[in-house]
Amino acid sequence: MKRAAPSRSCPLGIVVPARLDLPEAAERIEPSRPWRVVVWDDPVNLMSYVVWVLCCLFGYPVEEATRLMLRVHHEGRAVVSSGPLEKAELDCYRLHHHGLWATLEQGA
Amino acid sequence: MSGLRRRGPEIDLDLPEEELVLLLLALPLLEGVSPDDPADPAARRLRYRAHAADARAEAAFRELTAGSLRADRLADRGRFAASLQRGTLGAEDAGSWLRVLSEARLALAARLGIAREGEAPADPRGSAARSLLHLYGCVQDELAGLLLAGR
Repeated sequence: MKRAAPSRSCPLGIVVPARLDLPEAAERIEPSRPWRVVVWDDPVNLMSYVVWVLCCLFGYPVEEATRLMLRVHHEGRAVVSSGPLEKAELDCYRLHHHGLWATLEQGA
Repeated sequence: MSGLRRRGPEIDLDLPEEELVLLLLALPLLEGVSPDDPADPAARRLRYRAHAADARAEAAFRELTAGSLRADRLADRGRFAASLQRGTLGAEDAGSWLRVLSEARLALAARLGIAREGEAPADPRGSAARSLLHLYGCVQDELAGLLLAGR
Protein backbone atom coordinates (compact mmCIF):
# COMPACT_ATOMS: atom_id res chain seq x y z
CA MET A 1 0.00 0.00 0.00
CA LYS A 2 1.32 3.38 -0.96
CA ARG A 3 0.28 6.79 0.18
CA ALA A 4 -0.23 9.79 -2.09
CA ALA A 5 1.72 13.00 -1.78
CA PRO A 6 -0.45 16.10 -1.44
CA SER A 7 -0.87 17.97 -4.73
CA ARG A 8 0.46 21.52 -4.87
CA SER A 9 -0.09 24.36 -7.24
CA CYS A 10 3.05 25.62 -8.92
CA PRO A 11 3.36 29.40 -9.35
CA LEU A 12 5.94 29.01 -12.18
CA GLY A 13 3.56 26.99 -14.34
CA ILE A 14 5.59 23.80 -14.14
CA VAL A 15 3.48 20.70 -14.41
CA VAL A 16 3.51 18.86 -11.11
CA PRO A 17 1.90 15.43 -10.80
CA ALA A 18 -1.26 15.59 -8.82
CA ARG A 19 -0.47 12.31 -7.21
CA LEU A 20 2.95 10.96 -6.31
CA ASP A 21 3.27 7.45 -5.04
CA LEU A 22 5.76 7.22 -2.22
CA PRO A 23 6.92 3.88 -0.85
CA GLU A 24 5.83 2.81 2.58
CA ALA A 25 8.58 2.77 5.16
CA ALA A 26 8.89 -1.02 4.92
CA GLU A 27 9.37 -0.83 1.14
CA ARG A 28 12.14 1.75 1.19
CA ILE A 29 15.51 0.43 0.12
CA GLU A 30 18.10 1.02 2.78
CA PRO A 31 21.59 1.82 1.53
CA SER A 32 23.47 -1.48 1.71
CA ARG A 33 26.07 -1.77 4.42
CA PRO A 34 29.56 -2.34 3.02
CA TRP A 35 31.25 -5.68 3.42
CA ARG A 36 34.66 -5.87 5.05
CA VAL A 37 37.44 -8.25 4.06
CA VAL A 38 39.30 -9.47 7.13
CA VAL A 39 42.74 -11.12 7.03
CA TRP A 40 43.51 -13.40 9.97
CA ASP A 41 46.88 -14.22 11.49
CA ASP A 42 48.43 -17.56 10.68
CA PRO A 43 51.69 -19.05 11.92
CA VAL A 44 53.15 -19.88 8.52
CA ASN A 45 52.91 -17.04 6.01
CA LEU A 46 55.94 -14.75 6.20
CA MET A 47 55.65 -11.06 7.04
CA SER A 48 57.45 -10.01 3.84
CA TYR A 49 55.08 -12.14 1.77
CA VAL A 50 51.95 -10.72 3.43
CA VAL A 51 53.23 -7.17 2.80
CA TRP A 52 53.86 -8.01 -0.86
CA VAL A 53 50.35 -9.51 -1.21
CA LEU A 54 48.69 -6.41 0.25
CA CYS A 55 50.74 -4.10 -2.00
CA CYS A 56 50.11 -6.24 -5.05
CA LEU A 57 46.37 -6.83 -4.62
CA PHE A 58 45.21 -3.52 -3.19
CA GLY A 59 47.91 -1.09 -4.33
CA TYR A 60 48.88 -0.09 -0.80
CA PRO A 61 52.22 1.66 -0.39
CA VAL A 62 54.75 -0.56 1.40
CA GLU A 63 54.41 1.48 4.64
CA GLU A 64 50.60 1.04 4.79
CA ALA A 65 50.82 -2.64 3.86
CA THR A 66 53.40 -3.12 6.62
CA ARG A 67 51.11 -1.38 9.13
CA LEU A 68 48.22 -3.68 8.18
CA MET A 69 50.46 -6.77 8.30
CA LEU A 70 51.64 -5.81 11.81
CA ARG A 71 48.03 -5.31 12.91
CA VAL A 72 47.26 -8.85 11.71
CA HIS A 73 50.34 -10.14 13.52
CA HIS A 74 49.72 -8.38 16.85
CA GLU A 75 45.92 -8.20 17.00
CA GLY A 76 45.13 -11.40 15.12
CA ARG A 77 43.18 -9.72 12.30
CA ALA A 78 42.87 -6.59 10.19
CA VAL A 79 40.36 -5.22 7.71
CA VAL A 80 42.21 -4.85 4.41
CA SER A 81 39.43 -3.76 2.07
CA SER A 82 35.70 -3.06 1.98
CA GLY A 83 32.89 -2.40 -0.45
CA PRO A 84 29.85 -4.04 -2.03
CA LEU A 85 29.51 -7.80 -1.63
CA GLU A 86 30.69 -8.61 -5.17
CA LYS A 87 33.90 -6.62 -4.76
CA ALA A 88 34.53 -7.99 -1.27
CA GLU A 89 34.05 -11.57 -2.48
CA LEU A 90 36.50 -10.99 -5.34
CA ASP A 91 39.06 -9.51 -2.92
CA CYS A 92 38.52 -12.47 -0.58
CA TYR A 93 38.99 -14.92 -3.45
CA ARG A 94 42.24 -13.26 -4.49
CA LEU A 95 43.54 -13.45 -0.91
CA HIS A 96 42.64 -17.15 -0.80
CA HIS A 97 44.51 -17.64 -4.07
CA HIS A 98 47.54 -16.13 -2.31
CA GLY A 99 47.17 -18.49 0.65
CA LEU A 100 45.98 -15.89 3.15
CA TRP A 101 43.20 -16.69 5.58
CA ALA A 102 40.49 -14.15 4.73
CA THR A 103 36.80 -13.92 5.58
CA LEU A 104 33.95 -11.47 4.98
CA GLU A 105 31.83 -9.58 7.47
CA GLN A 106 29.19 -6.94 6.98
CA GLY A 107 29.83 -3.53 8.48
CA ALA A 108 27.51 -1.92 10.99
CA MET B 1 71.17 -17.19 0.95
CA SER B 2 71.34 -14.94 -2.07
CA GLY B 3 70.50 -17.09 -5.04
CA LEU B 4 68.18 -14.58 -6.71
CA ARG B 5 69.51 -11.66 -8.69
CA ARG B 6 67.52 -8.86 -10.24
CA ARG B 7 68.38 -8.16 -13.86
CA GLY B 8 66.15 -5.37 -15.13
CA PRO B 9 62.54 -6.53 -15.04
CA GLU B 10 63.58 -10.17 -14.57
CA ILE B 11 65.10 -12.17 -11.75
CA ASP B 12 67.84 -14.70 -12.41
CA LEU B 13 68.02 -17.90 -10.40
CA ASP B 14 71.51 -18.71 -9.18
CA LEU B 15 70.71 -21.59 -6.85
CA PRO B 16 72.69 -24.79 -6.26
CA GLU B 17 71.43 -27.80 -8.18
CA GLU B 18 70.29 -29.59 -5.02
CA GLU B 19 68.16 -26.60 -3.99
CA LEU B 20 66.52 -26.53 -7.42
CA VAL B 21 65.64 -30.21 -6.98
CA LEU B 22 64.21 -29.51 -3.53
CA LEU B 23 62.16 -26.61 -4.91
CA LEU B 24 60.72 -28.89 -7.59
CA LEU B 25 59.52 -31.21 -4.81
CA ALA B 26 56.84 -28.61 -4.05
CA LEU B 27 54.95 -29.79 -7.13
CA PRO B 28 54.39 -33.48 -6.23
CA LEU B 29 53.73 -32.36 -2.67
CA LEU B 30 50.88 -30.12 -3.82
CA GLU B 31 49.59 -32.58 -6.41
CA GLY B 32 49.32 -35.09 -3.57
CA VAL B 33 46.89 -32.90 -1.66
CA SER B 34 43.40 -34.14 -2.41
CA PRO B 35 41.14 -31.11 -1.89
CA ASP B 36 38.21 -33.06 -0.52
CA ASP B 37 40.08 -35.44 1.78
CA PRO B 38 38.87 -34.54 5.29
CA ALA B 39 41.60 -36.69 6.85
CA ASP B 40 44.43 -34.67 5.31
CA PRO B 41 45.31 -31.58 7.40
CA ALA B 42 46.94 -30.00 4.32
CA ALA B 43 43.67 -30.29 2.38
CA ARG B 44 41.79 -28.79 5.33
CA ARG B 45 44.26 -25.87 5.56
CA LEU B 46 44.03 -25.10 1.85
CA ARG B 47 40.24 -25.10 1.89
CA TYR B 48 39.12 -21.56 2.63
CA ARG B 49 35.88 -20.14 3.92
CA ALA B 50 34.78 -16.61 3.06
CA HIS B 51 31.39 -16.57 4.85
CA ALA B 52 32.29 -18.26 8.12
CA ALA B 53 28.86 -17.81 9.72
CA ASP B 54 26.55 -18.29 6.74
CA ALA B 55 26.47 -21.79 5.26
CA ARG B 56 24.24 -20.85 2.31
CA ALA B 57 26.38 -17.86 1.28
CA GLU B 58 29.50 -19.98 1.75
CA ALA B 59 28.13 -22.72 -0.52
CA ALA B 60 27.34 -20.13 -3.21
CA PHE B 61 30.81 -18.57 -2.86
CA ARG B 62 32.47 -21.97 -3.09
CA GLU B 63 30.45 -22.96 -6.15
CA LEU B 64 31.45 -19.70 -7.81
CA THR B 65 35.16 -19.84 -6.97
CA ALA B 66 36.30 -23.47 -6.52
CA GLY B 67 36.94 -24.09 -10.22
CA SER B 68 38.80 -20.80 -10.67
CA LEU B 69 40.92 -21.41 -7.60
CA ARG B 70 41.92 -24.85 -8.87
CA ALA B 71 42.72 -23.47 -12.35
CA ASP B 72 44.69 -20.50 -10.96
CA ARG B 73 46.73 -22.81 -8.72
CA LEU B 74 47.51 -25.15 -11.62
CA ALA B 75 48.57 -22.18 -13.78
CA ASP B 76 50.89 -21.01 -10.97
CA ARG B 77 52.47 -24.46 -10.75
CA GLY B 78 53.00 -24.53 -14.51
CA ARG B 79 54.75 -21.14 -14.48
CA PHE B 80 56.78 -22.17 -11.42
CA ALA B 81 58.06 -25.34 -13.15
CA ALA B 82 58.76 -23.66 -16.49
CA SER B 83 60.65 -20.69 -15.04
CA LEU B 84 62.60 -22.92 -12.66
CA GLN B 85 63.85 -24.94 -15.65
CA ARG B 86 64.57 -21.74 -17.60
CA GLY B 87 66.47 -20.14 -14.70
CA THR B 88 64.77 -16.76 -15.09
CA LEU B 89 61.61 -15.27 -13.57
CA GLY B 90 59.48 -12.62 -15.27
CA ALA B 91 57.07 -10.52 -13.19
CA GLU B 92 54.20 -12.98 -13.58
CA ASP B 93 56.47 -15.94 -12.78
CA ALA B 94 57.63 -14.25 -9.57
CA GLY B 95 54.03 -13.97 -8.34
CA SER B 96 53.45 -17.63 -9.17
CA TRP B 97 56.60 -18.59 -7.27
CA LEU B 98 55.48 -16.72 -4.17
CA ARG B 99 52.04 -18.36 -4.26
CA VAL B 100 53.34 -21.89 -4.92
CA LEU B 101 55.87 -21.55 -2.10
CA SER B 102 53.16 -20.22 0.21
CA GLU B 103 50.82 -23.09 -0.66
CA ALA B 104 53.60 -25.66 -0.19
CA ARG B 105 54.63 -24.16 3.17
CA LEU B 106 51.01 -24.16 4.36
CA ALA B 107 50.61 -27.81 3.34
CA LEU B 108 53.87 -28.86 5.01
CA ALA B 109 53.12 -26.95 8.21
CA ALA B 110 49.61 -28.42 8.40
CA ARG B 111 50.93 -31.97 8.05
CA LEU B 112 53.64 -31.25 10.63
CA GLY B 113 50.94 -30.05 13.01
CA ILE B 114 52.48 -26.59 13.37
CA ALA B 115 49.78 -24.45 14.93
CA ARG B 116 51.86 -21.65 16.40
CA GLU B 117 54.67 -19.51 15.05
CA GLY B 118 58.13 -21.03 15.54
CA GLU B 119 56.67 -24.30 16.81
CA ALA B 120 58.76 -27.45 16.18
CA PRO B 121 57.00 -30.59 14.97
CA ALA B 122 56.43 -33.17 17.69
CA ASP B 123 57.30 -36.06 15.38
CA PRO B 124 61.09 -36.26 14.70
CA ARG B 125 60.34 -37.90 11.34
CA GLY B 126 59.16 -34.45 10.32
CA SER B 127 62.71 -33.09 10.18
CA ALA B 128 63.00 -33.48 6.37
CA ALA B 129 59.65 -31.75 5.88
CA ARG B 130 60.79 -29.06 8.30
CA SER B 131 63.95 -28.53 6.22
CA LEU B 132 61.79 -28.03 3.13
CA LEU B 133 59.58 -25.63 5.06
CA HIS B 134 62.70 -23.65 5.99
CA LEU B 135 64.16 -23.65 2.46
CA TYR B 136 60.87 -22.56 0.87
CA GLY B 137 60.58 -19.82 3.47
CA CYS B 138 64.10 -18.53 2.72
CA VAL B 139 63.48 -18.40 -1.03
CA GLN B 140 60.06 -16.83 -0.58
CA ASP B 141 61.38 -14.19 1.83
CA GLU B 142 64.23 -13.26 -0.49
CA LEU B 143 61.96 -13.05 -3.52
CA ALA B 144 59.32 -10.97 -1.71
CA GLY B 145 62.09 -8.65 -0.49
CA LEU B 146 63.42 -8.19 -4.02
CA LEU B 147 59.95 -7.40 -5.37
CA LEU B 148 59.17 -4.97 -2.55
CA ALA B 149 62.51 -3.19 -3.02
CA GLY B 150 61.50 -2.48 -6.61
CA ARG B 151 58.25 -0.72 -5.63
